Amino acid sequence: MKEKFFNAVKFAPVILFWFVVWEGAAFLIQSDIIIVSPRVTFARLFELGATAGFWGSIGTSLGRILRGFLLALGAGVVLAALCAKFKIAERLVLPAVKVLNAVPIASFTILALMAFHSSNLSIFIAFVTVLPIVFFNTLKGIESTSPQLLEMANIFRVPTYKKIFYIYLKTLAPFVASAATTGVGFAWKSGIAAELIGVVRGTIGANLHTARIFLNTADLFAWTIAIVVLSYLMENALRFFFGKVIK
Amino acid sequence: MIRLKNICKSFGEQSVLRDISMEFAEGITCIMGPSGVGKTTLINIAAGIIAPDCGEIIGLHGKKVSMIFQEDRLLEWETALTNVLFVNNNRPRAIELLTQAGLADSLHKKAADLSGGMKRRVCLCRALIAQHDLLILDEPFKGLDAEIKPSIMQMVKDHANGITICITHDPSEAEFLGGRVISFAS
Repeated sequence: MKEKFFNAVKFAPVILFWFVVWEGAAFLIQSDIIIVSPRVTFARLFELGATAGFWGSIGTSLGRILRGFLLALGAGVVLAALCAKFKIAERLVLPAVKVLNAVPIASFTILALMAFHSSNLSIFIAFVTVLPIVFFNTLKGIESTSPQLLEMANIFRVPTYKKIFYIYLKTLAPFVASAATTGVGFAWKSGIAAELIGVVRGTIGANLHTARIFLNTADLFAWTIAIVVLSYLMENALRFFFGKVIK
Repeated sequence: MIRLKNICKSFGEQSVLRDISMEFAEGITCIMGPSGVGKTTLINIAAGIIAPDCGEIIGLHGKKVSMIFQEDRLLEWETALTNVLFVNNNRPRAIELLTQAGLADSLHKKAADLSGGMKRRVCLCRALIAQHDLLILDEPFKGLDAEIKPSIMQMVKDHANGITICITHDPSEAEFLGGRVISFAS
């Protein structure tokens, strides 16, 4: 706890420095369309924070993106386990996930807009963005499971559920944790980008779209800060959760 | 009784076992010999872990095997007690064995935090608690302190049942355990 406090204290001058740079840039450029000062941004953020629409948009985006993220987390782990166990699954799934990894988010978004109702867009986009990350990390984790421990468990005729719990899950946890903490940031960014492209009503993306249309840079900056803070909180919540699991 | 008949095994170009035949009857059999002559390969074949290139193993089918491996192969992130319970859920028996092995104060310590000798004792408890017809011990007393070693050897003698095969470099260990001694030469 003490260490965290001292780290925060050490980090404060760095934040202050960048705020000064930001304030200086806003002062020099003198254009509220290109850049607004931190004071204006935070004032706007507090204004927005006082409205129900702000929290409603955050809740909607957060709920959908988290759903896509969690679905990808589950599907990625299950698919990787199937691929590790069955050669045929590996032959079928591996190329598909590789393609998924290479296709640009914009293509998926346009495709999804034609196929689904736009309210499900960010769920789908978060899902396809995170799935390859979780899949490849989990596969790597399974491959790194100690063959000696598995051989030991086989010799002692240890039941499968114990092997999964004591060997596989313990080996996989750091890999899945790493994928989840990386993936949540990607889910968040891609999900909001999809909402923006699809102009999904009542979401963060739609608010960014409105800010762009009206050249309202203060709103754009305020929403961006909200996105960064939420991404940071989600990533740290996951770190905390997996920290407990790995312990 | 387990019979190994005309066993041979090579790893790449290196021939480790050539036309080996031997029998393991009920009781303790100690295998002695210098490092690198293929003792561990032989018992891994006897345990069914690795397949021989030629020859056959008679009498292994359906037998329950328990083993102390050359390496500890412990779940380093789990406690000494959990490592023993991993192979058999009999908690009172696990605690009894660990206590006998002088680990009563270390039941809840993670394997990673135990010394080499303590880990070896956890391995022994794990091997003894598992139901077995064939008990294979690959240098079970490696790294044990001189004070604790006699009681651990006695523990093996008391608890080993069925067919027990023990690899050792130390003639005094073989003598203590009694039974048959097979000397392996290169």
